[in-house]
Amino acid sequence: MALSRRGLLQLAGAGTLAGADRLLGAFGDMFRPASPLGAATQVITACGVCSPACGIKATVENNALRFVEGLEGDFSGRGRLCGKGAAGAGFLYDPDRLKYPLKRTNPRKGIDEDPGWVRITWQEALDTIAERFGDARKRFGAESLLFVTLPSPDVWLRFMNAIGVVNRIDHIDECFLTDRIIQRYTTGFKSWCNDFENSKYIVLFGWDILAKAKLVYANGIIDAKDNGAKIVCFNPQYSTTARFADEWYSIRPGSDLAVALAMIHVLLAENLYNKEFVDQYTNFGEHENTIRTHFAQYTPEWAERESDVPAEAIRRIAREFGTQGPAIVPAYKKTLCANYQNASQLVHAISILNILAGTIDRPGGRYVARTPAVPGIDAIVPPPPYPPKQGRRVDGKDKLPLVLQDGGGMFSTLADGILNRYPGMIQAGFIMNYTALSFPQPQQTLDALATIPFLAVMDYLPTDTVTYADIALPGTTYFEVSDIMARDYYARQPQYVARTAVVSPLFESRSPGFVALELGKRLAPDYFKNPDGSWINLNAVLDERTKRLGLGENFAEFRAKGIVTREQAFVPRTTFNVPGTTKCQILVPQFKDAGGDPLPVWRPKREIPSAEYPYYYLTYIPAVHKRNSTQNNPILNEMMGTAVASLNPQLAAKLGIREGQRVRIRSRVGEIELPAHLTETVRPDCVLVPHGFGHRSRLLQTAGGKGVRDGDVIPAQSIQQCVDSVNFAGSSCIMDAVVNIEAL
Amino acid sequence: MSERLSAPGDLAVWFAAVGRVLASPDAAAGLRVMAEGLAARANARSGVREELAALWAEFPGDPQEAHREYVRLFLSPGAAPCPLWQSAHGDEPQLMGPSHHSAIEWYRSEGIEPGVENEPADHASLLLVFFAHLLDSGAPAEWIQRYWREHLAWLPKVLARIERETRLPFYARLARVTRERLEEAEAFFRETPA
Ligand code: SF4
Repeated sequence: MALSRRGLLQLAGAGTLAGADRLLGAFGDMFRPASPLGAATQVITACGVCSPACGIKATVENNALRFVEGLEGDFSGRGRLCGKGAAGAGFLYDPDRLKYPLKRTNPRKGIDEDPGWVRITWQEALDTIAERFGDARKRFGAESLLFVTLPSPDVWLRFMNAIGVVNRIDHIDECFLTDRIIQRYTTGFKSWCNDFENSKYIVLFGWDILAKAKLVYANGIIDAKDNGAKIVCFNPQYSTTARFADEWYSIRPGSDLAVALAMIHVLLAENLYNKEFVDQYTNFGEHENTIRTHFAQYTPEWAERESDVPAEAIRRIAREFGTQGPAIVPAYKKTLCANYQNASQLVHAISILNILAGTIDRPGGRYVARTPAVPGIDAIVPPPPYPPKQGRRVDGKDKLPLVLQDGGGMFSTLADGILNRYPGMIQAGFIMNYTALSFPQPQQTLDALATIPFLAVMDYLPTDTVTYADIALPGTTYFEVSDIMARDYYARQPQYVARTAVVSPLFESRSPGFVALELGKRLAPDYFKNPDGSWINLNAVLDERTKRLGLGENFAEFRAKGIVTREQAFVPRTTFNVPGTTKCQILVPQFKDAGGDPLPVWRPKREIPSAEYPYYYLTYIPAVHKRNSTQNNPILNEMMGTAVASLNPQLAAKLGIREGQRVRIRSRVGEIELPAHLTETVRPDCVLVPHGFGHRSRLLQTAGGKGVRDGDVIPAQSIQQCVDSVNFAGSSCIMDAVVNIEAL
Repeated sequence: MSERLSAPGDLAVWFAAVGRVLASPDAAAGLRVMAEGLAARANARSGVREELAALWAEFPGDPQEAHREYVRLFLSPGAAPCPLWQSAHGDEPQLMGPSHHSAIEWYRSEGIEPGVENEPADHASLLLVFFAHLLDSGAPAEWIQRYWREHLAWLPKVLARIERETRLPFYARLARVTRERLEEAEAFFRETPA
């Protein structure tokens, strides 16, 4: 369009814009004289869809994001973005975004209730939240406050610590909690770094690395193969990675532990482990007899009966694993740490395999990121001593000492805690960036949330949980905030990328940091002041972080560089930061003290097929989505907008199910109905359903009402069930379900 | 319909008023003063005076009711998704999409820009007030036609949806009359030689 009508106003004799009478002010109220146009600029920032935070080059014009592309030299994305990252503008510019703070006027809560929102100011929203939380704390103690949020940004954590919060819950029991706990006591570190490129043998239990489309890992595994590594894959699904792998075994769901135990058995029985590493850096010598005796029972023949993987294959794979050069068994998030009731034991067995391979913090193995962490706000402005944490834990994690010590929360037990264990205890709740779909039995969670007298929810979209809020706060997307991203997924040498606010926050959205600071000022002012008595300024804190890391005098200087990489040789660790020792632990006495198994013991998964529920229920996260947070993105929704149940044709024939026919999948806790898709890639005793669909909020115009919630058939749990089943590192059992399937 | 139209300026009065009302949940509450002032300037034969008075008569006694309905319809669309950003209605619904940039170009051609920076420029309220300005300032018919095509053609359908979905006679009337007036304006300029 080429318009050149400037001055028409004057020509037409209609007076000036500022004129009081100009359409009686409508014009002057809404428009102002144009300011000079800026040229399009390129800004370096970092993706915020998933945690490797790939570097982005963003083209910005007139405060609008026009284009995103990968950033050369970045360790995470290596100059590329995955589909989710490339579709990033769809998050920033989602028409359904929460735009202004809203207050509920309809006291009835339900997924189909109209909340009767009215728009309020931030001032009113923050004052109301502070008042309700302050009041609940005064009358019922800190235990009455529930925060469903990650502990980041760290000013949030400071706020929660300052008011003595004991009930901060997050999703990591569905993610990496189990691995973090086990790693702490076996190798001393939880790391995201897997040196696939230098590995010669990679064993994957379940993790569909390629289809997950996390670039940093996908690149790593492709490089590994180029470099001659052998890749072995155990998965009940013939996954994308299975196709790419050298060998694939259709393993019985939940029996990975049996195969891992048998691999350890072979490595020990045939002395194929890395003797030098094991002797020098582990507690094997102290407990050799116990360890050897323990694993003697787990023969490959036994494992074959549990897993359907041939004994000969297990034996050969173990031998190759022990002899073909650097070997690794990566453990990853939802894929296994959280899937089954025996995840604590599985992750422990996996850690032992890596220790026996001698690749802990060695080339070709799991290693500690070399990028020094960004200094926390408490290091920059030391707070007064925090009040002691007193009160009951609504998720019951105090029953699992290692989980309590870890500090992460448990989604899988939250609803039981609110509804059954401690009814009425929670008086005020704050949920940030989580929707009900994140939980097993999401409706039960929503029902639990509905019992909380006051609920505030912050998100950038009007999710199902927002529908239950008394106050809804519009959050920012990653394009609207600034931060320092320390590389921790690929970090053999330090690297930092500047996450830069490429546009100012849309509408009245604000960052979580802003909310923490403002609530902090109202509820615990002493913790939010500088030594001179002025309020903490988060930009000043960011400048100071930048300076302490040597990235620049202030953030603006670092932002101008965008990315900083430091040359540094990779020097393997010789001491390990394990509690009570400097060595890696194969046998972990602390696990016994905490009611767990000091050495991994075979334990079956929670749900075993029965006459009533004869089939395994498997879920997965499609490549084009990130959990349940991306389905409303128009581009990603177009790529995959709803859920189908994948079934093997053999099973379909037995049940009389045709392609596309609707099926009912029922477990002991619920049922879902969705179309069937027939595929040879799933075992005939399983059904596979994607996670992330079934948003109910009508406010989500793209995703709302499409597909079903996979969690509706996945049983949540009580903390007592975790204790009774020796699920001592708190796995949420997020895939531990069996079902009945019928044609409709 | 076009025989009722005495001058584009009368339509401008209606669109300016509606544009202003649609700007925020509480804007309607301030409508009365403006509506009366605007109506006084409209040509008696255009019917705009009466329509504004009739619209005002529908305004609920409790302004909160209008506020809630605005939020339900336009900000958190409940059962009735009627967002007022043009680009939310394109083939690829997205804020700050091509229609935002095109609207900015139109405004800048008049030496102006929206008063609020961090919101899309293709909100119906801005588009309608700017349309009022074009009409009021005697812009050539071809430009008006082009503006209508580029920035208002999507609106009648959304107004029809508002009319169906709203629980308040006030918004139903506002939507209906605005839709009719938009169609009227479009027809008028289509018939007017450039
Ligand atoms: S892998 Fe994709 S979604 Fe994850 S950070 Fe990189 S570009 Fe973003």
